[in-house]
Amino acid sequence: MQLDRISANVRYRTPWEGVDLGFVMARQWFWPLWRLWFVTALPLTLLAVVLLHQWPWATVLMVWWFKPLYEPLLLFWLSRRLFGEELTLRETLGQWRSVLRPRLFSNLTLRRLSPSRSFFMPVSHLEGLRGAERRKRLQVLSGGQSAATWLTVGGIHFESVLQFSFLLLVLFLIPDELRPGDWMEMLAGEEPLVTWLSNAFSLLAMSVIAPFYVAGGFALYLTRRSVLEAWDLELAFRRMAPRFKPARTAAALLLGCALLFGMAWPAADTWALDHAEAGQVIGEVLQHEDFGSRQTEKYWRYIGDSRKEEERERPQWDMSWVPIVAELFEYLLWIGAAVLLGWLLLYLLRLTDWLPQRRAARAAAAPSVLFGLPVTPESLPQDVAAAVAALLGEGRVRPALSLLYRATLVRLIHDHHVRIPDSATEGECQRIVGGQRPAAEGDFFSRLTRAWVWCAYGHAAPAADDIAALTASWQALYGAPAHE
Amino acid sequence: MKQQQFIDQQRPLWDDFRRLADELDKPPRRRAQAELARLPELYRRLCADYALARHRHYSSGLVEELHDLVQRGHRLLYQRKSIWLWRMVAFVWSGFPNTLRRHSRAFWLATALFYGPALAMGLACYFDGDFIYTLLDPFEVASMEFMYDPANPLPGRSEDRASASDFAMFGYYIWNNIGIGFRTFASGMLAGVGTVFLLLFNGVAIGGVAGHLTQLGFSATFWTFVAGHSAFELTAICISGAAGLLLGKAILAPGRRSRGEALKWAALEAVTLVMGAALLLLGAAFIEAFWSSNGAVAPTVKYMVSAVLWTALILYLGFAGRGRDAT
Amino acid sequence: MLQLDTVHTFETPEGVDLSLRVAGPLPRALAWVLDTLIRYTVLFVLSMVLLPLAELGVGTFLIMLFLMEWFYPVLFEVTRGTTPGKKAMGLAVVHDNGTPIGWPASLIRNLLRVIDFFPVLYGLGLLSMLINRQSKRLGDLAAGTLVVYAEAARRADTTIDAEARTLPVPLAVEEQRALLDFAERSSKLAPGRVEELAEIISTERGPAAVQTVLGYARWLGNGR
Repeated sequence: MQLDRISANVRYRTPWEGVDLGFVMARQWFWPLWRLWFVTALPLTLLAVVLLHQWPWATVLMVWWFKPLYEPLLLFWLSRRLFGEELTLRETLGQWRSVLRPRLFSNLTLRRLSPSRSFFMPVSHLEGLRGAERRKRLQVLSGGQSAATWLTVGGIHFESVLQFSFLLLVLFLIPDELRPGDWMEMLAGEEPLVTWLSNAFSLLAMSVIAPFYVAGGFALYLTRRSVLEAWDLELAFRRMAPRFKPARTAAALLLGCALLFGMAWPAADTWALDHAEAGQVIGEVLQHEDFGSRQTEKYWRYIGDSRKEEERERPQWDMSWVPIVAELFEYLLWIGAAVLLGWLLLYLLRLTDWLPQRRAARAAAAPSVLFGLPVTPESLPQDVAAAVAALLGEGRVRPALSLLYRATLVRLIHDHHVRIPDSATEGECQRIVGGQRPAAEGDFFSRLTRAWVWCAYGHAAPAADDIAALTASWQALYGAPAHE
Repeated sequence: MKQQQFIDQQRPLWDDFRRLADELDKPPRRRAQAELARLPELYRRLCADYALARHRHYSSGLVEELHDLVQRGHRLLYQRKSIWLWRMVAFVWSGFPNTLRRHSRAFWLATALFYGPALAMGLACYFDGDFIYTLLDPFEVASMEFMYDPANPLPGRSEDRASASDFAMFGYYIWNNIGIGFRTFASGMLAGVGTVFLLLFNGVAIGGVAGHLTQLGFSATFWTFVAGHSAFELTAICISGAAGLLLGKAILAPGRRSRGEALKWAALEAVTLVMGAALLLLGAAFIEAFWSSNGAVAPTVKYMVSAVLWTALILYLGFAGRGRDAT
Repeated sequence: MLQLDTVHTFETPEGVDLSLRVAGPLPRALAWVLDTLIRYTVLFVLSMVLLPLAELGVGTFLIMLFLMEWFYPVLFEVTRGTTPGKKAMGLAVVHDNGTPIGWPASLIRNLLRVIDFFPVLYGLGLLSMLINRQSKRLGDLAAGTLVVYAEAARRADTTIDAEARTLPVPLAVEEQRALLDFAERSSKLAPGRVEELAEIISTERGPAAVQTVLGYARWLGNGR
């Protein structure tokens, strides 16, 4: 058991997140935990069946009641696994006496219905506190959060949901002909087969939820200790302590649970010393005034109905307007339907090109910037070809190509009403142009796009001749502002 | 750089960013527009700060504070807010029919699963007056016969709903029929089995009822009643079924994608279909409540309207939005 | 060594790793109970108001029933990022990549509730949430969404009231971080506890030990 091998990230969290961490732990180590649960639960189930087989409901109640008997083993295994020590079944069971003993009797009787069972278990089992000390400690740790109670309430519901889900699933799968009646009747009825099936599924559901419940409580406990006592920091400090205080290296790295939980269970051979120290530490913490607590409880109490009798009588409304409004509603719906129908018709007509396209609307939607390049007519020089040639003359190939590309886009968008969404990429532009313009333009545009993309993103400048050729084509295609 | 120096140096930037994010959380009308354009720039610098703080293992409090700021920025920058009315229009005009045509195989399969059993059951019930009892119990048969009995002044209404007004029935059809559409889709999550079952089941039930009533000679009430909304309703059920089958296929045969990825992709396509089907069912509910139940309209008119609706629907689903990129 | 945790980490387009704190079945179940209570309360009030209005009322009520059944979560998730019940539990719904949830994903995850509900009270959904590493129900799997904790954690409070001290030994970055965390959180712990923690790595006792350790933290955080 070594401090530097902690296998869950215990840190500052809200209580809910603490429970969630426990669920993650249970998910990760589900199979060993599940098996461990059955080790104690199965013999007890058999015993219950033998003793109480005349009363099936009592069997399941007994199995359920003895839950505090099965859970400590899971907690014990988890507390070791947390520090990287994976106990085998034999090793775990070797400790059963000391693991199960603490508070077993009161947990099975008086405290069986305590709603924070899983959260309290680490305190009584791992820290080994008793009596008033334990009570005070629990008050400190639970202060101001109710997640532990909700974990129990949720656990009960999760169990029943799983149990009935399994049961219903099986009943759904039985063909009608073989079912002695409706499945609802079967659930409610006294059919022995269904009752025992239900009991079996109840056991299964309990076994599935148990690891999550125990781990949830355990992780919540760790989280509370991190928040209130900086348990996670203590862990980190203990890891570094040997370098700060070489004198105490002796057992420092091997203390693990024993010191951190002040554990009552036999751990390593350092047990006696560390337990004493831990007890003292905890005692000191408990005595501090900050751990005193004050609680305000709020509750609802019925103080009688303050209203007078006649006020409570329901007013009689005049209902004559209702049918009129209903009729009005219907007319409105009819009008809505008619508008919709007309719209659809208009659309079908447009689809067949019987109506002229609205050009103005298209021009209005033209983008002003495409992939970071301004594409408004105002952004272009008067004579584009000349400007390109001038730039080429100065050896500024990239700006020249950029200008040519922009100019082409402007012509396409504003003169030829090619619709390009402002989110389009160069490749999409190329496809749109290819699809909507004559082949010559499409061909030119794809050559131009290729040159531009290579130059802009690939930083491979095309030969000046190529650009000159492109400029010539451009002049031929778009030289004079066209109007269709 | 030491943590404190880092904080002192960069704190103004973070505060700026926080102020801007607060601004963006306000309703649009009360925002100071001018500054908002700075968000992406600030966000990028914030990301760099966060990466640095993590890389240098500054205290977790600081790292968490920056993490939360970055997360806020991430949400603000990558949220998609568009004009919903426009998206609705685009959805009806092209998105929905385009998606349906992309998945025409699923649609035809669902249609076959629905109409096949309907036809078989319909013929069986038409030629054998008692065959309907294999499907429904005598009470249900009696209630159904009452609904479409020519003597019933309000055809299509069962006994207990005889007094309900058109509007109440409109609400009922919305709640019930669109719910059925949604369930047909969702059951696809059970590896497609649920969808197939619901399609077969609905096909058998509808076919059986139709065959039985025709055999009884109730055609005049039954067929004139269902003719109007049949186009929208039956097609919508098949489309919901197609959506469910897409989910089922993603689970059973995800192809080259991982099962999870295939499911996400299929669900995105399927939900478009389901929403389209829901709109069709809304239309069907309207027609069923206000038009089909109207006994004053001559049967010929009802059949003609039905033919028009079927044609319009086929044209719409077959041709609307062709040539547009799916949205 | 990889530690178990509840966070889901993803990379943003800016190349920064962000993490989301994924919520487990318990808080989500409680959020659902709250939402259901709200839904039925609203429906109950509506039924009191609408049903006496006879025909018009019944129709309107049924439409409301339809909307509440299928679209209550969708509307809240898309406009607010979370439903009232989830908000009360501090939860929100986001895409797997941390972006706010949109229409398609919200529709998918909520329509598929039918299946998660199967066969009774989210039996399948619960099983899926217990098995899945990110506590996703089937609807979340198909929609690519996560339910996460929304509220921000704490804010850095880094003024350290102690004289800087050179570290006597070299420390790994994780350990340096523990010292800085100590300085940050010491004000929220009981003074006795702070001393105890400090004494673990300091040869001094009591407040002097705290000063020493805070000094280390200050040296790490601020420099000399």
